[in-house]
Amino acid sequence: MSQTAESPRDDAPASSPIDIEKAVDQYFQQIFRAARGAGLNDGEAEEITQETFMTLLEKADTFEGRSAVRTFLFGILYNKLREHRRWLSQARRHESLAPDADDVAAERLDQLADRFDDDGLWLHPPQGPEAFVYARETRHLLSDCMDSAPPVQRMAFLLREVEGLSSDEICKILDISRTNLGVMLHRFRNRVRNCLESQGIAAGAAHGARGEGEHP
Amino acid sequence: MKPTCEELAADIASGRIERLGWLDRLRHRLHAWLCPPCRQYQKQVDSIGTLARQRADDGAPCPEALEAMKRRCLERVKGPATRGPADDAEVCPDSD
Repeated sequence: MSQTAESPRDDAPASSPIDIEKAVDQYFQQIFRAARGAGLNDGEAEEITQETFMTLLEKADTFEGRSAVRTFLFGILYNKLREHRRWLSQARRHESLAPDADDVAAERLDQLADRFDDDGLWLHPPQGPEAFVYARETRHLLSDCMDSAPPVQRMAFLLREVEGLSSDEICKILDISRTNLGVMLHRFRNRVRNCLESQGIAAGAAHGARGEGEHP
Repeated sequence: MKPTCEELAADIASGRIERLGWLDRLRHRLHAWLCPPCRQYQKQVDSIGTLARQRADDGAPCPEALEAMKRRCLERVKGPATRGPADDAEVCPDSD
Protein backbone atom coordinates (compact mmCIF):
# COMPACT_ATOMS: atom_id res chain seq x y z
CA MET A 1 0.00 0.00 0.00
CA SER A 2 1.45 3.27 -0.97
CA GLN A 3 0.33 5.26 2.02
CA THR A 4 2.14 3.14 4.52
CA ALA A 5 5.12 5.46 4.52
CA GLU A 6 3.01 7.97 6.38
CA SER A 7 2.97 8.01 10.10
CA PRO A 8 -0.20 6.50 11.49
CA ARG A 9 -0.25 9.25 14.09
CA ASP A 10 -1.19 12.01 11.73
CA ASP A 11 -3.97 13.37 13.88
CA ALA A 12 -3.52 17.02 14.60
CA PRO A 13 -4.05 17.78 18.26
CA ALA A 14 -7.48 19.29 18.77
CA SER A 15 -6.24 22.68 19.83
CA SER A 16 -3.30 23.24 17.51
CA PRO A 17 -3.56 24.50 13.96
CA ILE A 18 -2.65 22.22 11.11
CA ASP A 19 0.95 22.43 9.98
CA ILE A 20 0.23 23.11 6.33
CA GLU A 21 3.80 22.66 5.21
CA LYS A 22 3.95 19.24 6.82
CA ALA A 23 0.56 18.36 5.39
CA VAL A 24 1.65 19.26 1.86
CA ASP A 25 4.86 17.34 2.30
CA GLN A 26 3.09 14.25 3.64
CA TYR A 27 -0.06 14.11 1.58
CA PHE A 28 0.47 15.96 -1.67
CA GLN A 29 1.33 12.81 -3.57
CA GLN A 30 -1.63 10.85 -2.23
CA ILE A 31 -4.14 13.60 -2.95
CA PHE A 32 -2.69 14.15 -6.40
CA ARG A 33 -2.81 10.42 -7.17
CA ALA A 34 -6.41 10.17 -5.98
CA ALA A 35 -7.34 13.11 -8.21
CA ARG A 36 -5.72 11.38 -11.18
CA GLY A 37 -7.46 8.17 -10.23
CA ALA A 38 -10.76 10.01 -10.39
CA GLY A 39 -10.07 10.61 -14.07
CA LEU A 40 -8.43 14.04 -14.04
CA ASN A 41 -5.38 14.76 -16.18
CA ASP A 42 -2.13 15.89 -14.55
CA GLY A 43 -2.87 19.59 -14.90
CA GLU A 44 -6.38 19.28 -13.51
CA ALA A 45 -5.17 16.99 -10.75
CA GLU A 46 -2.47 19.47 -9.73
CA GLU A 47 -4.96 22.31 -9.72
CA ILE A 48 -7.52 20.49 -7.62
CA THR A 49 -4.80 19.28 -5.25
CA GLN A 50 -3.64 22.85 -4.72
CA GLU A 51 -7.23 23.91 -4.11
CA THR A 52 -7.62 21.09 -1.61
CA PHE A 53 -4.69 22.36 0.42
CA MET A 54 -5.92 25.94 0.11
CA THR A 55 -9.22 24.83 1.61
CA LEU A 56 -7.39 22.91 4.30
CA LEU A 57 -5.60 26.11 5.24
CA GLU A 58 -8.85 28.07 5.24
CA LYS A 59 -10.57 25.50 7.38
CA ALA A 60 -7.64 24.84 9.68
CA ASP A 61 -9.34 26.78 12.46
CA THR A 62 -12.44 24.65 12.23
CA PHE A 63 -10.51 21.39 12.23
CA GLU A 64 -11.27 19.83 15.57
CA GLY A 65 -8.99 16.86 15.36
CA ARG A 66 -11.87 14.40 15.41
CA SER A 67 -10.51 12.82 12.27
CA ALA A 68 -7.04 12.45 10.84
CA VAL A 69 -5.67 15.23 8.68
CA ARG A 70 -5.54 12.73 5.85
CA THR A 71 -9.24 11.92 6.17
CA PHE A 72 -10.03 15.61 6.34
CA LEU A 73 -8.00 16.24 3.18
CA PHE A 74 -9.63 13.42 1.24
CA GLY A 75 -13.00 14.74 2.32
CA ILE A 76 -12.15 18.16 0.91
CA LEU A 77 -10.86 16.57 -2.29
CA TYR A 78 -14.01 14.49 -2.67
CA ASN A 79 -16.21 17.56 -2.33
CA LYS A 80 -14.14 19.39 -4.91
CA LEU A 81 -14.21 16.44 -7.28
CA ARG A 82 -17.98 16.30 -7.09
CA GLU A 83 -18.10 19.82 -8.46
CA HIS A 84 -15.58 19.14 -11.19
CA ARG A 85 -16.89 19.02 -14.75
CA ARG A 86 -15.35 15.61 -15.48
CA TRP A 87 -16.97 14.09 -12.43
CA LEU A 88 -20.25 15.76 -13.23
CA SER A 89 -20.23 14.50 -16.79
CA GLN A 90 -19.50 10.95 -15.64
CA ALA A 91 -22.21 11.13 -13.02
CA ARG A 92 -24.66 12.53 -15.55
CA ARG A 93 -23.82 9.76 -17.99
CA HIS A 94 -24.71 7.19 -15.37
CA GLU A 95 -27.88 8.93 -14.34
CA SER A 96 -28.99 9.11 -17.93
CA LEU A 97 -28.06 5.51 -18.66
CA ALA A 98 -29.28 3.79 -15.56
CA PRO A 99 -32.96 4.56 -15.19
CA ASP A 100 -34.38 4.08 -18.64
CA ALA A 101 -31.77 2.49 -20.92
CA ASP A 102 -31.60 -0.76 -19.13
CA ASP A 103 -31.43 -0.84 -15.43
CA VAL A 104 -31.58 -4.58 -15.51
CA ALA A 105 -28.54 -4.83 -17.74
CA ALA A 106 -26.63 -2.37 -15.58
CA GLU A 107 -27.63 -4.29 -12.52
CA ARG A 108 -26.47 -7.51 -14.12
CA LEU A 109 -23.05 -5.99 -14.69
CA ASP A 110 -22.79 -5.17 -11.02
CA GLN A 111 -24.26 -8.30 -9.61
CA LEU A 112 -23.42 -11.93 -9.49
CA ALA A 113 -26.88 -13.25 -8.84
CA ASP A 114 -27.44 -14.93 -12.19
CA ARG A 115 -24.21 -16.85 -11.87
CA PHE A 116 -25.55 -19.02 -9.06
CA ASP A 117 -28.23 -21.65 -8.78
CA ASP A 118 -30.89 -21.76 -6.09
CA ASP A 119 -28.52 -23.49 -3.70
CA GLY A 120 -25.95 -20.73 -4.04
CA LEU A 121 -23.57 -22.84 -6.11
CA TRP A 122 -21.80 -21.57 -9.20
CA LEU A 123 -23.94 -21.95 -12.29
CA HIS A 124 -21.52 -19.92 -14.42
CA PRO A 125 -18.13 -20.06 -12.73
CA PRO A 126 -15.53 -17.36 -13.35
CA GLN A 127 -13.84 -17.73 -16.69
CA GLY A 128 -10.22 -17.54 -17.63
CA PRO A 129 -7.07 -17.26 -15.59
CA GLU A 130 -6.90 -17.68 -11.89
CA ALA A 131 -5.93 -14.04 -11.65
CA PHE A 132 -5.97 -11.32 -14.27
CA VAL A 133 -2.66 -10.91 -16.00
CA TYR A 134 -0.56 -8.04 -14.71
CA ALA A 135 0.19 -6.38 -18.01
CA ARG A 136 -0.06 -2.86 -19.39
CA GLU A 137 -2.84 -3.89 -21.79
CA THR A 138 -4.87 -5.27 -18.93
CA ARG A 139 -4.42 -2.00 -17.08
CA HIS A 140 -5.68 -0.08 -20.10
CA LEU A 141 -8.73 -2.29 -20.21
CA LEU A 142 -9.11 -1.88 -16.49
CA SER A 143 -9.24 1.89 -17.00
CA ASP A 144 -12.02 1.50 -19.55
CA CYS A 145 -13.92 -0.84 -17.26
CA MET A 146 -13.48 1.52 -14.31
CA ASP A 147 -14.76 4.40 -16.40
CA SER A 148 -17.96 2.50 -16.95
CA ALA A 149 -18.75 2.58 -13.22
CA PRO A 150 -20.37 5.44 -11.32
CA PRO A 151 -17.65 7.83 -10.10
CA VAL A 152 -18.50 7.47 -6.43
CA GLN A 153 -18.09 3.70 -6.63
CA ARG A 154 -14.75 4.16 -8.33
CA MET A 155 -13.67 6.61 -5.64
CA ALA A 156 -14.63 4.19 -2.88
CA PHE A 157 -12.65 1.44 -4.56
CA LEU A 158 -9.57 3.62 -5.16
CA LEU A 159 -9.54 4.93 -1.61
CA ARG A 160 -9.67 1.36 -0.44
CA GLU A 161 -7.33 -0.40 -2.82
CA VAL A 162 -4.88 2.25 -3.94
CA GLU A 163 -4.75 4.59 -0.96
CA GLY A 164 -5.32 1.84 1.58
CA LEU A 165 -7.79 3.79 3.69
CA SER A 166 -9.84 1.98 6.29
CA SER A 167 -13.57 1.45 5.91
CA ASP A 168 -14.23 3.97 8.67
CA GLU A 169 -12.15 6.62 6.91
CA ILE A 170 -13.84 6.00 3.57
CA CYS A 171 -17.30 6.13 5.12
CA LYS A 172 -16.41 9.46 6.71
CA ILE A 173 -15.00 10.87 3.48
CA LEU A 174 -17.88 9.76 1.27
CA ASP A 175 -20.44 10.28 4.03
CA ILE A 176 -21.93 6.83 3.66
CA SER A 177 -22.67 3.91 5.96
CA ARG A 178 -20.55 0.79 6.18
CA THR A 179 -23.33 -1.20 4.54
CA ASN A 180 -23.45 1.27 1.72
CA LEU A 181 -19.70 1.05 1.26
CA GLY A 182 -19.93 -2.74 1.10
CA VAL A 183 -22.60 -2.50 -1.58
CA MET A 184 -20.54 -0.01 -3.58
CA LEU A 185 -17.40 -2.13 -3.44
CA HIS A 186 -19.37 -5.24 -4.29
CA ARG A 187 -20.93 -3.61 -7.32
CA PHE A 188 -17.74 -1.98 -8.49
CA ARG A 189 -15.59 -5.10 -8.20
CA ASN A 190 -18.16 -7.26 -9.94
CA ARG A 191 -18.70 -4.72 -12.65
CA VAL A 192 -14.97 -4.48 -13.36
CA ARG A 193 -14.44 -8.23 -13.06
CA ASN A 194 -17.33 -8.97 -15.40
CA CYS A 195 -16.11 -6.27 -17.76
CA LEU A 196 -12.58 -7.69 -17.90
CA GLU A 197 -13.98 -11.16 -18.37
CA SER A 198 -16.21 -9.99 -21.20
CA GLN A 199 -13.32 -8.12 -22.84
CA GLY A 200 -11.58 -11.40 -23.34
CA ILE A 201 -8.85 -10.81 -20.79
CA ALA A 202 -9.74 -14.13 -19.37
CA ALA A 203 -10.06 -15.92 -22.67
CA GLY A 204 -6.93 -14.35 -24.08
CA ALA A 205 -4.75 -15.28 -21.16
CA ALA A 206 -2.49 -18.12 -21.96
CA HIS A 207 -2.09 -19.72 -18.62
CA GLY A 208 -4.15 -21.04 -15.80
CA ALA A 209 -7.50 -21.16 -17.57
CA ARG A 210 -10.00 -22.92 -15.43
CA GLY A 211 -13.51 -22.55 -14.18
CA GLU A 212 -14.57 -26.11 -14.41
CA GLY A 213 -13.97 -26.79 -10.75
CA GLU A 214 -16.21 -28.77 -8.53
CA HIS A 215 -18.13 -27.34 -5.68
CA PRO A 216 -17.27 -28.36 -2.17
CA MET B 1 -21.82 -26.26 2.69
CA LYS B 2 -21.91 -22.96 4.54
CA PRO B 3 -21.06 -20.44 3.37
CA THR B 4 -22.40 -21.12 -0.08
CA CYS B 5 -20.43 -20.01 -3.12
CA GLU B 6 -22.79 -17.09 -3.54
CA GLU B 7 -22.32 -15.96 0.05
CA LEU B 8 -18.57 -16.31 -0.16
CA ALA B 9 -18.40 -14.34 -3.41
CA ALA B 10 -20.55 -11.58 -1.91
CA ASP B 11 -18.31 -11.38 1.16
CA ILE B 12 -15.21 -11.20 -1.00
CA ALA B 13 -16.51 -8.47 -3.29
CA SER B 14 -17.97 -6.31 -0.55
CA GLY B 15 -14.90 -6.59 1.67
CA ARG B 16 -17.08 -8.01 4.43
CA ILE B 17 -14.72 -10.94 4.67
CA GLU B 18 -12.20 -8.74 6.49
CA ARG B 19 -14.61 -8.07 9.31
CA LEU B 20 -15.62 -11.65 9.99
CA GLY B 21 -14.69 -13.50 13.14
CA TRP B 22 -12.01 -16.16 13.07
CA LEU B 23 -14.45 -19.06 12.78
CA ASP B 24 -16.23 -17.58 9.80
CA ARG B 25 -12.90 -16.73 8.23
CA LEU B 26 -11.82 -20.29 8.71
CA ARG B 27 -15.03 -21.51 7.08
CA HIS B 28 -14.44 -19.18 4.16
CA ARG B 29 -10.87 -20.30 3.80
CA LEU B 30 -11.84 -23.94 3.91
CA HIS B 31 -14.55 -23.37 1.35
CA ALA B 32 -12.16 -21.56 -0.98
CA TRP B 33 -9.59 -24.30 -0.54
CA LEU B 34 -12.10 -26.93 -1.60
CA CYS B 35 -13.80 -24.91 -4.31
CA PRO B 36 -11.73 -23.94 -7.38
CA PRO B 37 -14.29 -21.46 -8.81
CA CYS B 38 -14.45 -19.55 -5.53
CA ARG B 39 -10.69 -19.57 -5.25
CA GLN B 40 -10.49 -18.27 -8.78
CA TYR B 41 -13.07 -15.59 -8.08
CA GLN B 42 -11.15 -14.44 -5.02
CA LYS B 43 -7.88 -14.27 -6.94
CA GLN B 44 -9.48 -12.37 -9.79
CA VAL B 45 -10.97 -9.84 -7.39
CA ASP B 46 -7.64 -9.48 -5.60
CA SER B 47 -5.86 -9.01 -8.89
CA ILE B 48 -8.18 -6.12 -9.77
CA GLY B 49 -6.84 -4.32 -6.70
CA THR B 50 -3.26 -5.04 -7.70
CA LEU B 51 -3.92 -3.84 -11.24
CA ALA B 52 -5.52 -0.66 -9.92
CA ARG B 53 -2.44 0.06 -7.80
CA GLN B 54 -0.18 -0.52 -10.79
CA ARG B 55 -2.39 1.61 -12.96
CA ALA B 56 -2.21 4.48 -10.47
CA ASP B 57 1.48 4.77 -11.25
CA ASP B 58 1.08 4.47 -15.02
CA GLY B 59 2.13 7.74 -16.59
CA ALA B 60 2.52 9.37 -13.20
CA PRO B 61 4.88 12.35 -13.06
CA CYS B 62 8.45 11.50 -12.11
CA PRO B 63 9.68 12.33 -8.60
CA GLU B 64 11.30 15.57 -9.78
CA ALA B 65 8.05 16.76 -11.35
CA LEU B 66 6.15 15.82 -8.24
CA GLU B 67 8.56 17.78 -6.09
CA ALA B 68 8.09 20.78 -8.33
CA MET B 69 4.32 20.40 -8.03
CA LYS B 70 4.65 20.21 -4.28
CA ARG B 71 6.67 23.43 -4.28
CA ARG B 72 4.10 25.16 -6.46
CA CYS B 73 1.41 24.01 -4.10
CA LEU B 74 3.25 25.38 -1.06
CA GLU B 75 3.91 28.57 -2.96
CA ARG B 76 0.23 28.99 -3.62
CA VAL B 77 -0.81 28.08 -0.11
CA LYS B 78 1.83 30.01 1.81
CA GLY B 79 2.97 32.61 -0.67
CA PRO B 80 6.05 32.97 -2.89
CA ALA B 81 8.49 32.98 0.00
CA THR B 82 8.73 29.21 -0.17
CA ARG B 83 9.98 29.28 -3.75
CA GLY B 84 13.22 27.41 -3.94
CA PRO B 85 16.15 27.87 -6.30
CA ALA B 86 15.59 24.52 -7.99
CA ASP B 87 12.04 25.30 -8.98
CA ASP B 88 12.68 24.85 -12.65
CA ALA B 89 14.13 21.39 -12.27
CA GLU B 90 10.88 19.62 -12.94
CA VAL B 91 11.91 18.01 -16.19
CA CYS B 92 12.44 14.34 -15.51
CA PRO B 93 16.00 13.24 -16.23
CA ASP B 94 15.00 10.36 -18.45
CA SER B 95 11.81 11.78 -19.91
CA ASP B 96 11.39 11.84 -23.69
